[in-house]
Parts: sequence; C-alpha cells; structure tokens
Amino acid sequence: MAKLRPAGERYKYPLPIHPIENLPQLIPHNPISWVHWLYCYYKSFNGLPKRISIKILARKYCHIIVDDPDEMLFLWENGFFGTGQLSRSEPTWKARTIARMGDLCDEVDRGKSNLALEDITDRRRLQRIDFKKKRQQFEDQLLELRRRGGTIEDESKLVAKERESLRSLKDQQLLSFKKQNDTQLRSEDSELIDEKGELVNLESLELTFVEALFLSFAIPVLDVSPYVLIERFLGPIATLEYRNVYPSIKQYVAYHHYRSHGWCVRSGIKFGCDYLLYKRGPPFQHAQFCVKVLDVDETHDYTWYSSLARVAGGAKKTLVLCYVKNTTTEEEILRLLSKKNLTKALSSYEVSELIYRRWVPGKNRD
Amino acid sequence: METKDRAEYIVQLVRNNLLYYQLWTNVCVNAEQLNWRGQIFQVITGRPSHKLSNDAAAEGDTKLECVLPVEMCDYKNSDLTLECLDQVFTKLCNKDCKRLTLAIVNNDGTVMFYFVYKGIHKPKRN
Repeated sequence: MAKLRPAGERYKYPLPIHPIENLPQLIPHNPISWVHWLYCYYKSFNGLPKRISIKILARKYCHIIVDDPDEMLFLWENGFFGTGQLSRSEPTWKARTIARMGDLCDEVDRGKSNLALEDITDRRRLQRIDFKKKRQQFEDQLLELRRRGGTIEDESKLVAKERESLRSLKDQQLLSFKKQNDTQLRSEDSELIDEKGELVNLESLELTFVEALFLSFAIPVLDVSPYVLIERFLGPIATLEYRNVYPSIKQYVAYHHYRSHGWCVRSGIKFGCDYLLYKRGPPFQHAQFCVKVLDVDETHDYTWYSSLARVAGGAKKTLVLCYVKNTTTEEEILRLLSKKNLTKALSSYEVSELIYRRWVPGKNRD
Repeated sequence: METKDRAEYIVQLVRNNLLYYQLWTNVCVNAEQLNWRGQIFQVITGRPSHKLSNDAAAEGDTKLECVLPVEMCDYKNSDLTLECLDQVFTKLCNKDCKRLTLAIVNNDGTVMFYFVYKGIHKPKRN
C-alpha cells in the first residue's frame, strides 16, 4: 500500500537482508571501544526474524505465491521482488480499491492511500482518448469539406483551427491533471466486502522461479530449500536430465549475475526479453536495459535479433545479449546437483555480454 | 485432476483481473469446456469499462467480449495452435464473435491481453 513516505526512504535497502546497523562508534586508539564494538558486532544478527512462507500452486507450471500482506510489502520494498497479481507490479490493488470504493470501506485505512501509478496511467489514457475523439471530429469535417469541393484556403483555415483547438485541449488536460474524487461502485463490488464489513484481499504476490531460487539459495529469505524448489519445478534431483535443467539454470545464472552486480532485475516478458535491468527500481526510473539470455553456442537468424532490438529500441532501452557458458561438463553439473552442491554447480558457469544496438548512419553521428 | 486444478486456477485469476482490476461488468465464466489435447479451455464473457478498440466504432457501444485464459511459462512452447483457436471460436464463442481476447497468464504474476481476429482485419489507427 502506498504510504506518504519519500521513495528514497521507503526503498532504502536493495535486498531483503540488511547490513548490521547501530554499531557503536569505533575509536581507533581506545582498546575498550574495540572490545565493545566487536561484542556488539558478534551479538547483532541481520537475518530475518522469521522466513517468509510461500505456497506453490498447480503442478505443471508452478506459481509461487506469497499472500501475507506484510510479507508482500516487505518483498516489494526490499529489492522489488515479485508482482502483484492484480497490479502492474507493486501490489497496490487493495489501496486502489479502497480509493475507488470510497465511503463503503471507510473503516479500512482510507486516506493513507495516495495516487497509485496505475491511476495516473488510467487518467492519461482517458485524456488521450478525449484527444483522439476531438481529432476525429476535425478530420470528419475536413473530409466533408473536400467532398463538397472546398477551396484550398478553406481547407488550410480549418487545419489551422484544428491545430489551435487541439493544442488548447492539450494544455487544458495538463492543467486538470490532478486528483479527482470519483467514487464508482458496481453491484459486483459487494462481493469484495466480508461479513465484518472489511475489504477482502484478493491479491497475492507472485514470484518467478528465479526470484524464489535467489531468495532461498543466495540470501536466506524464503522458508523453502532451493532443492525443494528445483524438485518442484524440474523433477526429482536424482533423475534430472541436463537438457531439462539447463534452460532454468541458464536463466538463474544470468539473474544472479545482475542481482549481485547491484541491478534490480525484473521479468522482461512485456518486452519479449528475459529481464529488465533497473538502476534502483521501478519507482525511480524506467528500466535502461533489456536482457536476453543465450547459450554461448546459440545463434539465430538476423531477423530474430532485429525484432528483439527493435522492440527494445522502441521502448528506449538497450538490448543486452547475455551469454552463459558452462566451463565444466554436463555430467559434472548433474553430479554436483545430486550431491546437493548447488554453489559449486552454479559457479561453473561464466557470463559475458554484448550490446546489440541499431545504428542509423544519418542520425547516430556521435 | 491436475489439469482441472490448473484450469480453474487461471480462469479464476483472469476473472478477478477483469472484474476487480480492469473493472469490467457482467463478467461470467461460461460453463462450456473444450478439452484440447489434455488441456481444458473455458471462455469468460464480460463488458469492458471503456471502449477497447476502434473496431467497436461500427458496432456502437461496448459489447460483450470473449476472453480466453491461457497459461504461459516464460518462453516454453504453448499448445495454442490454429486448429485449437478454430475450435474455441466454433465451440465456445457466439457465432457472430469476430474477435477473441487472449488473457495470457504468465508465471511472473502478470496477465497480458492480446486480440485474436477471425481472419484478416484492418489495422487500428493510433
């Protein structure tokens, strides 16, 4: 839920595990301060007091679900993990619904919610629709004029009028872009209120396989073992085949690589790539890079790269081709997995990158 | 049993998405089912909260839309073939339904929507 807190403070930590804070001041020439500092250092603990519990739903394609509201918020605020199932990314459905239904859920913490990102987008879209309607009207008039055989002067007069009026509409829209108090209720909404008169929380946070593996293997956050996750997604560890394991390992190696270099990594499914890289996270700026993960020997025809690059370029992002290479043998990886040595298995992979960017000689002269 | 659980899960997810995220009305999960190579398909109908595309301009106000929930897992191959879509159009939709909306449930928690037209269609204006 959106709280009135500056983003820098709200998203202070890049990961769910925080550095040890509140250590006493260390005075180099005072040995007692050293002893005190070391004592405090050893006494403090930066793990989570309680690991976050997940549910794994369905069996063919697994869905990893976190449904406790505090845990959902925690995973989002500390590294932007997971996606709200009824939101664009941050699980804001409850706050948005409270704002929409207004008086009906007065008792629920209303007023705390400010404008969610989804609302802003909605308002922009509505304004754009208005704009298009107006433009269509003028175009119909122009067509009519031509049909009647109007002169060029008439036509240019009309076009000038169109331009003027559309511009003033745009200016007006910019000015009126502030919160309106619009409560809409539908008969369907009664389903959302339980017997106690409170809003039912329909939304859960969903984690992808790589996110869940990262939160259990790389940092101890989820209360599930990485091997359990692998078994649920890929089958019993003893009978794994390399061709079934490799696609997931490849994805994870790339994910871990960028996370450990400090990037906020999120799914790139909307842009036809594997990952999006954010410098800090979605509330701060748009993702700068689209990452496509490839095997080191993988090649495709030119149109394949071209279509990826054009989608990335159209969204003002840079396409990164991330090549993953296995430095040992397939049998060795399977042997390490069956011995539950995931660390060694995963560190047998190397990652290297290429940036693939369209270059237009007439435009990109720098 | 597994297939059934899975189908129900994504149908419910898409229904909630349409009703309480996209704010559609008259959302109804149709009872008819299509079993296609072990997968169960079901269609949801509903009325959008605003006009979805300019296709509707000729047809007047917003009309009932047909939505087909399908599941996708990253870039794994899906079972959705031309033949399968044809069966969905003939068995699960109205006769005069010219456009189907695919609701693709991904395993990262997002649902994406895509139009599928029966045959060739004039592109929309931006």
